[in-house]
Amino acid sequence: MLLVEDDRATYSALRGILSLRGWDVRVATSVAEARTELSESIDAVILDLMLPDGGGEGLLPEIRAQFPLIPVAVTTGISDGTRIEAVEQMGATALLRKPITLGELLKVIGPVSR
Amino acid sequence: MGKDVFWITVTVVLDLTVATGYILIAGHWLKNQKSLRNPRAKRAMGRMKNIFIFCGLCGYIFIPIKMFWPAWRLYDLFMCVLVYFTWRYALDTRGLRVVYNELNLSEELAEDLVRSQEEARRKSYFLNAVNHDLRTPLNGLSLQVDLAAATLQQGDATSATKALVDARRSIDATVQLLNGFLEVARLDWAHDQVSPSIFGVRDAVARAAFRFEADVQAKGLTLTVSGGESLVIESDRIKLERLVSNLVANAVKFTPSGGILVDVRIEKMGVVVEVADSGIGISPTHQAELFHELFQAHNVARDRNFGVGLGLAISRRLAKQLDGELTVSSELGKGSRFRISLPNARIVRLPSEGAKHDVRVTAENKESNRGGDAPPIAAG
Repeated sequence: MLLVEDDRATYSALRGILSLRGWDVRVATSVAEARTELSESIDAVILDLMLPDGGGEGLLPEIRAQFPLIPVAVTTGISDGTRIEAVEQMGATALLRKPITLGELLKVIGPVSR
Repeated sequence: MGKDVFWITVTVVLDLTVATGYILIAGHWLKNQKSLRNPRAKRAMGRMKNIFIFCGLCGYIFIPIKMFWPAWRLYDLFMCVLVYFTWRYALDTRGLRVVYNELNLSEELAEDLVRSQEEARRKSYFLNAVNHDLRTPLNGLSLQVDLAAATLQQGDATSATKALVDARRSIDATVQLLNGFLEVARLDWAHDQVSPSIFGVRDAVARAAFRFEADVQAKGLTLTVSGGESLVIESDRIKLERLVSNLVANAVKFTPSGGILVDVRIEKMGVVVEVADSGIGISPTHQAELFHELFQAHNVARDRNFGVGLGLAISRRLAKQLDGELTVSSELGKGSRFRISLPNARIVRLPSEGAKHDVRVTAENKESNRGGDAPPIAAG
């Protein structure tokens, strides 16, 4: 599981919760870090849109090129309608508005596949 | 001969009638061309006027010819037509005034539209930023609470406590943001009182600046306060201190190496306090937006570690309340210079020229000598 998120409180909590559920969570806090993480195999991605070195949506085509079938949950606090529409068309499995609830996130990423 | 006198009289009368019509039209043109704001309409008017003047002049050139070739009836027929058209046009100019007014009005409306579009763009930026800045800590908070619950269920109290501490931090961040909004709103509220007192500027500025001593030392920077020894003014001390500390806080945040200089001096227009740093600087496009609420030049991700983006909006309001101005000059990569000018602060005592000494904090020099400088003047 790749978690791309720059807010410390958010990623530390998500890492904790998902680890408890059996996920092996790798955290990337920027687009550049996420790119290096993409070289290894991933079962699911949680992607934030506002990252320090650019928009997270820039990663979507790369993720889809490498892993066409895995669930990608995009989380966002932004309310820019056109940007959100663009993200939905770029292959995100679901778009979750912050504050996200654990239930909806787990519905998108599903159980750990072993 | 008697017949000639009759025709000459008729022609002169007609000529004079045309000339008065011309004068009326010319007066109207002169007046309206000046008040026209649309440059294209103004140019067109100018050209029309030139054609008219040319035609008029041509008409008058023919007067001496008439003297030698007295075909009066023919001339006067033409003159009658000219009188008719000239006066019709001269009377029509009244109606044209309405057109010109409309033209000016639409020009004003176009300017208003540009202004309100800019305002709308800024408002939507502000709302998006508020939305994001409130949702992000709430998101962290909600997930930390989920984590605490999950770890408690497993009997892991240590992890739960850690999650709750993080949750507390998210709450603090949200409260900080809300407090910022509250402060902006309060400063916008006209009844927020300014309470003037008489105080030493150097002392106030140094006190505000050295609040960040620890941060300056931690980053290995230098912080120098210079000028304004024994300068005493009448202004709102608390607001000035707040303003200076906002600027110094920003300078510390955006200066990776080098130093920050806070300078107090008297200029032609009055008291000036300048906060200059050797930091990352601000590009010209960002400088225009800098004082708007929630705008952050170097923080596209809106990382809360860089603050919430209200500091300069608050600072500019504070400067306005002090009857002064806050401006910035900066170059990307070379640092920024924020300048508070207080032209309306009453100067009670001018700074002494002789006793000039700076107070300085550096990473190595932890004992600053600020205790001895600029004795505080009792507030009135």
